[in-house]
Amino acid sequence: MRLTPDQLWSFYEWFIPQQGLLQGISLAITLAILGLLVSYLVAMVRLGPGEGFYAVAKVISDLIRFDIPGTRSSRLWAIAKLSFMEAIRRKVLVVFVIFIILCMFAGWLLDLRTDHPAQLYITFVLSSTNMLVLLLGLFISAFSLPADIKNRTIYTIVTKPVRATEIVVGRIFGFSLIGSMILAALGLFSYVFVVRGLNHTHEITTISQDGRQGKTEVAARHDHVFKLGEDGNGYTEEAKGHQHTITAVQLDNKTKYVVGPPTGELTAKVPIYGRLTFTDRSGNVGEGLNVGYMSEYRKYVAGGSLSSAKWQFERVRESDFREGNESDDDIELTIEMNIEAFRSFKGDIVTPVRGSIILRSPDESIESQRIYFLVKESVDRKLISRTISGFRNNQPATLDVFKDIVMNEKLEVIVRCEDSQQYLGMGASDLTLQAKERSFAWNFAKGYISIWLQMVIVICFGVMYSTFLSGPVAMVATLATLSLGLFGDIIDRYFKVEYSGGGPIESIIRMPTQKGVMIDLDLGNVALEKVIHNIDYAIMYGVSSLKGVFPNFSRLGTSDFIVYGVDLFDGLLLRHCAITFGFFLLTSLVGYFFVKTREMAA
Amino acid sequence: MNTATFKRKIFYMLAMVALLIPLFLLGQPPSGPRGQGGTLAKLRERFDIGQSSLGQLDPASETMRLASLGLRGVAATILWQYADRFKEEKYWDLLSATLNQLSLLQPHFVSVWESQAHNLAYNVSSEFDDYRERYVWVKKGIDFLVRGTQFNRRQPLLQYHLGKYTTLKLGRSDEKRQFRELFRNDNTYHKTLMDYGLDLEQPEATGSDRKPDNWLVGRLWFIKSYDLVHAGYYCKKSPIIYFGEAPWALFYYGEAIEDEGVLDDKAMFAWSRAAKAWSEYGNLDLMTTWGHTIQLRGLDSANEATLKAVELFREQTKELLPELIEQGKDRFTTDEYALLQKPEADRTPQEQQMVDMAMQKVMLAPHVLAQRMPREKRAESIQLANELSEKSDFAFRVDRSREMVNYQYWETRGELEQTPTAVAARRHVYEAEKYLIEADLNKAIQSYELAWKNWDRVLRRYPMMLHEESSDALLKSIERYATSTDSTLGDDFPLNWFYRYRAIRDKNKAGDETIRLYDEFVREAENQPGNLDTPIEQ
Amino acid sequence: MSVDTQAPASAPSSVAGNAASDVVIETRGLSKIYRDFWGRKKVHALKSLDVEVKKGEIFGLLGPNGSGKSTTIKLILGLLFPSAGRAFVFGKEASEVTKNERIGYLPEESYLYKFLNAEETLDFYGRLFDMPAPVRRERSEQLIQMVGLHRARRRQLKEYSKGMTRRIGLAQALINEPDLLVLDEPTTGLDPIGSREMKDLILKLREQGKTILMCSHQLADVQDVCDRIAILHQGELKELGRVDSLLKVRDVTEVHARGLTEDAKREIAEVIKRHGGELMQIDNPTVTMEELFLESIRESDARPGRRAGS
Repeated sequence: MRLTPDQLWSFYEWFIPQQGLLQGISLAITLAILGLLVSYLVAMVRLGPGEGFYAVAKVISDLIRFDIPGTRSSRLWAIAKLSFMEAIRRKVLVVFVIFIILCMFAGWLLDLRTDHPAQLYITFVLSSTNMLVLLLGLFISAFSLPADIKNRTIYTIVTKPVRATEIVVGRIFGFSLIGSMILAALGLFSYVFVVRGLNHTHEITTISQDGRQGKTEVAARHDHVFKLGEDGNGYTEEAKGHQHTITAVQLDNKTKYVVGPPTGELTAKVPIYGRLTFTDRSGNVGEGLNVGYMSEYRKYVAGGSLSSAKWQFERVRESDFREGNESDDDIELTIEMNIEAFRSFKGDIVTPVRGSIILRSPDESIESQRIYFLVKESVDRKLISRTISGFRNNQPATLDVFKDIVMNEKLEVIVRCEDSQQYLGMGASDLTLQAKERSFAWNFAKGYISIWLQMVIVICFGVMYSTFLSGPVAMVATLATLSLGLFGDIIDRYFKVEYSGGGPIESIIRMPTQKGVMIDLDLGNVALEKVIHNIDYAIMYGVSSLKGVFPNFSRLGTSDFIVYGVDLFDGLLLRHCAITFGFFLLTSLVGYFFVKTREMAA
Repeated sequence: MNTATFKRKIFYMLAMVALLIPLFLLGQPPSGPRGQGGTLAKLRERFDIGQSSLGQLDPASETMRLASLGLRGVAATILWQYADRFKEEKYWDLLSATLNQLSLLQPHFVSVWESQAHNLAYNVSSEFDDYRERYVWVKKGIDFLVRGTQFNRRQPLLQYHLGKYTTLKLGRSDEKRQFRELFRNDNTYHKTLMDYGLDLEQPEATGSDRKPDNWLVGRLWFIKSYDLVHAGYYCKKSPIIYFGEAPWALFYYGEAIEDEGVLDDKAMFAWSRAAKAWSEYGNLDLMTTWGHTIQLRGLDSANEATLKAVELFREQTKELLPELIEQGKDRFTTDEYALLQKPEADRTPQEQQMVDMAMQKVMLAPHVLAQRMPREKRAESIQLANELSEKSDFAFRVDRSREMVNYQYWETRGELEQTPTAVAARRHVYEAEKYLIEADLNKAIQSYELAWKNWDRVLRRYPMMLHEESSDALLKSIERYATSTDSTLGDDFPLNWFYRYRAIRDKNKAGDETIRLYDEFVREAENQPGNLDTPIEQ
Repeated sequence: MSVDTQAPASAPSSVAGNAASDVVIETRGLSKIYRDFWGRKKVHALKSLDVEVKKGEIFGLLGPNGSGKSTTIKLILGLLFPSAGRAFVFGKEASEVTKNERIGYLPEESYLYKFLNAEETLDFYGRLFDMPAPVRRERSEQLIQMVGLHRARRRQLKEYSKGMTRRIGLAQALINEPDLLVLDEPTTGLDPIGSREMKDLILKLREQGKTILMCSHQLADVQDVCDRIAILHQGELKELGRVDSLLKVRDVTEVHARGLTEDAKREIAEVIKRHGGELMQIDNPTVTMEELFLESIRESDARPGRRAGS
């Protein structure tokens, strides 16, 4: 899994030092000014400059003086409950049926030959529930208010002392409630589906004479080889991302081996990420090398030189590494690496490129000896026992990792490439310390909370649009917002990188004239081409900046964490909560103004 | 106002009906034995491109296509974008998942299967350092193609690529030894391939150790592809090369097992099988890109036919010769002119050759000559001229086609490699080098010397081999031998002639000296073709 | 009668700052112009209406379809915003939500949530008034009894007949014990009994001191219950005043007597002639159809059985 640095921020770090709050506030101010300007313009056209100003001012003062203080929970609840019942009446529960059908036919859609069935299963349930509940949110939220207006049931509502705030927020609450219930049920079902779908066991087919190693039968499209200890117990080797325990059972004087359920595939690892810096060939602080790939994610260190990568870890606490109830002496430091090799010549094809790790104290006075490794190119776990030989002020010494090398909960890990003229490539999240794992079920739930947040945002937007658009149009608008949020990154790239083939207008011209993207547009008129180009640019610019106001769903998605078995950072989840709350405020406010200024009987 | 609304409604309704009629005519599905259906259905029928006739109907694929509604193009574009990004950022798992979806979305776009399989097997696999991981990704590419063939039963191209991947990617890359080994022992994968309908248990597929060999398995894919072409489906490849792939695979199989130390009857058998396949290939009627149907082994007959046509034409236009000679008198030397005056019957063969050379100076193209013929013979002459140019053109094309696939080289190679002497020569080199690694110098030298004797015979018999890459390896062995024995190669070194020749050739390439020497070797080989049936073992 | 569309911008002194005043509704130059999407004028639905409704009276808005009655009501309720002029309810601007605390509104058709049942409906609207749960329950119970829906209280509204829907609509309008009831066509779609009951109820509510604004195009209804009426036509106020005084024909005297002989009648005619009056008609009175219908229904309730032709 790959992380961007911002994902590692704690909530506080994001909120204050990284200006999450400030950005939110400045966005709010910008939008408020823009909104006021537009509403004043509209009011001016309708009522004239003086009356228009008065009208706008009145709506705002009403909001602050009466409507917010006048908002009552019982009315909110009444509207929420009504929306809830309305959603039920509109047979939203059919989503269940769809989901269950999807799961039944999952075999069609899933490539079960994959090496990581767990990842596949989790991706499948997460993405399908995600899509389903987003669509659900879209449908229930966009049609409700327009339907009330069309049926005029709204007459009996707005002639009661119901505040516009309550009409908007109550709806958001009600729809979120039904959405939450459905999501919770889907989540529960998915959990069972994943756990049961992955559960399997093997019979043992071959076992060596001494009963110490053997092979299992093929089940679920794979088999395992295994080695057993003297007592006949042991683990199988890993295959398809999991292992099994094997226990020997004495039955009628015969040893029978029992293969346990799969372990190690449904995890919630707790990686500790560090800050990565590089030194160049001569040992000076540098940027790391680029070996010629487009992606800037990984940088490379050169073998046989002073070039190295250094991770600085904080919050390294001994207690976080205790597995079960190990005694203090047995606590190991687990390092997980996913390092890439890049060869400048092929050399020995069979032997992987070699690298080394050094653990060092932050003041550089104490360091371990080199721990060598061969590049594995997939996740490689290194367990380092706490007693390790190394150097204290350049004098050989026996060290305790947690007591001597880790200082003030800080630790440095240095990685070098040991084969000269070969390179090792790594990005910040490619080397982590692994603290004690947490519960997969809870992580799974956090994934669903993430989905829930996205759903709430969709509902907020749906309700907002429905305050001034008719049902179908509101739905399309919400859908557009959703797609902009899901595929916004593509639009961004389009805007920034200047895709070949140009923007919308150019594409419209290219299509009927059958001009591929690789050839110039060439309309025989440079000025015209320029005009088209500029219009396209303006459109793309507009869309791109519009995107800033809308939620970026692709950034809000956290399914990667659950899929790759990494405990979803609480800070990140909290941040998403805050962002969702921000959108809730924004959409409720916009919705309020429209409900307030709209003639319900028109 | 009400009537206006009413009118508008009526108009809408009429418009809907009007739009529905062409839709109906276009899209009506075929119904029953007599109902032909709409235009689209008829077109589908005519070009035989109905979903079900193209290949398997996959429920997942259909679901995807349905789920994207009319936005298949958009969905595909987005997926392509994702695939590009995943590749750029090296999210390999996601890339392969996206490619899967993509192919489900556009299951009948052959180029999607083609290019993405290439992506997996070539581009992605080479991103890994561990050869096992590379092998896995090559397999993914192959798998991808296999799935493609199931959706596109009538695309010989996909099977052809399967052959290419299985043979060349696994058998010719730097890690071919490891790849081939992995492939031989990949029982689970063999099962998968069997499920795809490739019989890997037949002797055609198994190598010297009775395990499926990538060259032979790849050849089976080629043959599957050929079957489709024979059944009448079109493959966008030049037939000359296309049909050469299967026999080539057999040659490379022979090379591969010899490299891996199988240097006995099995190797001889492999080569003889390859040679046989090659000559069968030479007898095939192949369409060239110029539109001729040729046989690669038909060069001699084509040349003969040309000569015959030349003869006929000469005979026909003989009467124009004196006129031509007179006109171009200035261009001849006096000797030449004198010779030309001599009656043909009196000339010695040497003189005749000089005459022929001299005549080149004044000779006109056949059809120009034919035009000059007197009226009563002109029509016939023109026809003869046309025939001549056709025949010579044909012979030229045959020759070119042979060059394209290096026909003669492989023919000779097949012939040579199946001889016991050639196999022995290779075996001795192989053994010598094994001894070298084991540091058993005496035995190594012993083997080397036996090897040189055998190679000497082989090369003298087939001087063509002096050039090709197989002798490059030999050259390297000789150098290794020289360094390990720490000796300069003396006059008693049996391959001295070869070594010196290569030195000259490396210096002046195809210069006069090289050609002179080579011609000499060829003449010797023709005069005294050695016997390669019994190798020198002492 | 002013046709001036320019309305006074200031609040009327009679209402402003004095909620205890007996003026409940006041409109000043209230106008409404419906415009199309492009802002072009489509209909001038209401032209500068000046009306006052006093506390405790039943005020009827009368007029044919499209005369502007409904528009007036919607403007007063804040469902529409005036194009010019202003409307005040309880001294508050019509667009203010807080005025709704004391208003009950029965829309033209009962626009209620069809998927709720009677109890849920009343509970829902009760909540909208932020009524505490016990009060809500008590009030719902009372109203369900009052409108006679106790047997259908658990049925979804979509199963209700038109009359039942109307009644639950009325109950909904009364949930907050409003001081002002706005009834839009209260008797449409009701059978004569329902209609009568509705009218009786309206009168009863007035007795409780409530103010009622209703509109109707059924003249009989208006005549039966309204204290004052305004007649609208094409958006303009045509007539305004007390029903009795509007309907009174001042130069005609009506005498109703029982048991007179033909001689007596002749004598009376002579007396009239002697006094210089003109005898217009002397006849047996007929009852109205409504009276006949109600009478026979009442009879049949008292003595069941077939009666026609006897």
